[in-house]
Amino acid sequence: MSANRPKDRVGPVPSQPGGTCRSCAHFRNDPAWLERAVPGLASLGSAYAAVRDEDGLCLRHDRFTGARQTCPDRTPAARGPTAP
Amino acid sequence: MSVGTETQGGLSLHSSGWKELWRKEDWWAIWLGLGIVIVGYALFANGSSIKWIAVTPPKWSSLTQLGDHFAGNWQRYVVQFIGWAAVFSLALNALGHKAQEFIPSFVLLYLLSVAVIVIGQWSRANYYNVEAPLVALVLGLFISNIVGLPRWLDAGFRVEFYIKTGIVLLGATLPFTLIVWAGPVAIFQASIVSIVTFAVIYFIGVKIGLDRRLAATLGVGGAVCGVSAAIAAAGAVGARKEHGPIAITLVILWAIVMIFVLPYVSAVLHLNAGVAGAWIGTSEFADAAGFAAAQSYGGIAVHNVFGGTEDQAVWAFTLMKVVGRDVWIGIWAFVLAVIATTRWEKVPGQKADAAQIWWRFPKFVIGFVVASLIVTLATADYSLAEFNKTVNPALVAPIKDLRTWAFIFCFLSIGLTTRFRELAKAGAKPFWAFTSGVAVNVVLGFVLSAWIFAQHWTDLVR
Repeated sequence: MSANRPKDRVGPVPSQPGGTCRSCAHFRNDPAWLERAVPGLASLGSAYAAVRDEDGLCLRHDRFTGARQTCPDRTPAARGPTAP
Repeated sequence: MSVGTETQGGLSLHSSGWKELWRKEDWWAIWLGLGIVIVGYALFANGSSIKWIAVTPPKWSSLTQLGDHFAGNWQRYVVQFIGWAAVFSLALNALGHKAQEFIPSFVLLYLLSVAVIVIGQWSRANYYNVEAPLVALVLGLFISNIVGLPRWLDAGFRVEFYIKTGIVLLGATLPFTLIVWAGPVAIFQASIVSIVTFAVIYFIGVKIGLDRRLAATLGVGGAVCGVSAAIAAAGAVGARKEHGPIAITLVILWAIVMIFVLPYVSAVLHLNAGVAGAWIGTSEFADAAGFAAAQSYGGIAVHNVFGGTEDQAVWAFTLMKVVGRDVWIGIWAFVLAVIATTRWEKVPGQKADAAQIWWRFPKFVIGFVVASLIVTLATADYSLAEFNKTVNPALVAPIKDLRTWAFIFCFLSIGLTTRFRELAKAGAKPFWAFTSGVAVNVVLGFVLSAWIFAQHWTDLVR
């Protein structure tokens, strides 16, 4: 992995042993946060809708991505997943 | 079952699996909508009715009449307000909102809704084409853009939640046989328009130099279900952070323009209510905006005797938009994800997950269909005369009145949350790509609704 990879070359990839974007420090998908971060989202839409699934924003690559994806730049969040 | 992750600062909120049942507003719309339908039917089956709580301001021609109505029924409004506030608080609290912010916001929303419905019920309102949905939208836009409201009040202006709850309630007033009879034509017509609209926006967008991800996000936003579709597509194709807000800005601007343009042009052309409902269903860009346009035109068509009923406009719109377009968002997202991950950005081992067809399915549609099934089966043994004499006034009409409230909450919320100066700047290229799709969509939607399938939509309620 290289921290200097161009942003456009780093795309979402399927789950890898290292974990998914859901538990990455760069990933944001809290609906209230998304509605503040994406202008107009709550006007004729909603971050709480089923169609969004668990998508969010990757702040490392400035891209929308799914929580089930992962990438070489994944950084485990300080607060990891809790037990089911 | 999935692992749950909840973190601060918007970090990561995990709500897949069974948690979706109380962490997504689609499911809460189902619980609330079906809850009302089931309670309504239980009371009806025991010789009672929910009509006491489903009060709405009646037609009026003098302030004295209006005053007498409220003097005699204020308790019903108080109880209804408490009922709405309680169930919405329960749902929104589960979704993560704060009750202390929702309640004052909902008080304002309810009072404005009473005012909007009163204006719409004025005996001269039809003469001046003053339709309640348009009044709600204009009033909301005026308050949010000219007067201004504190941001925290947005907690009660949940556009999508109210429209989804209203759509589930709408299912209870729409015969299931009608869904089965008209659904396939709606799907066929909507598919033609969706595919053509997407293709126009995408290929023009790419041709004039837009990033393929932005072009795809714009295309799905215009072709399927507006803001929700744009966000789903953005996630599926890995759109850049600025692409989502650009698509949202264009969807909102054109959706609001079409709320006024489509009913106006339909009225100029004297379109049948069902035909116009189908046209609005193919050519509006968001469910909430489309319901405002369809419901407005239903009133206009009935008053001006253009043919059809108010229900016909709303039913045709619903079949076209919800059944014909919305339910396919998961397939659009999956197909685009396959293209994005195999052709646009190849990464070894990378593949799209077909399960997103279900994950992204607009679940409230299930509630809409189930509500229709419940009422259709429960009333199957009644003759038409018995239905009109007994079932309609005690069960269907009160559910329709509660639906009216949910829709007015939604229409007001559209205006109250649309602050034009806060929308992202779209830029000329995205604007022209999207606008090209709008132009093709509106013309093609009209040809299909008013010419090719005109008889189908005119006969919808016969």
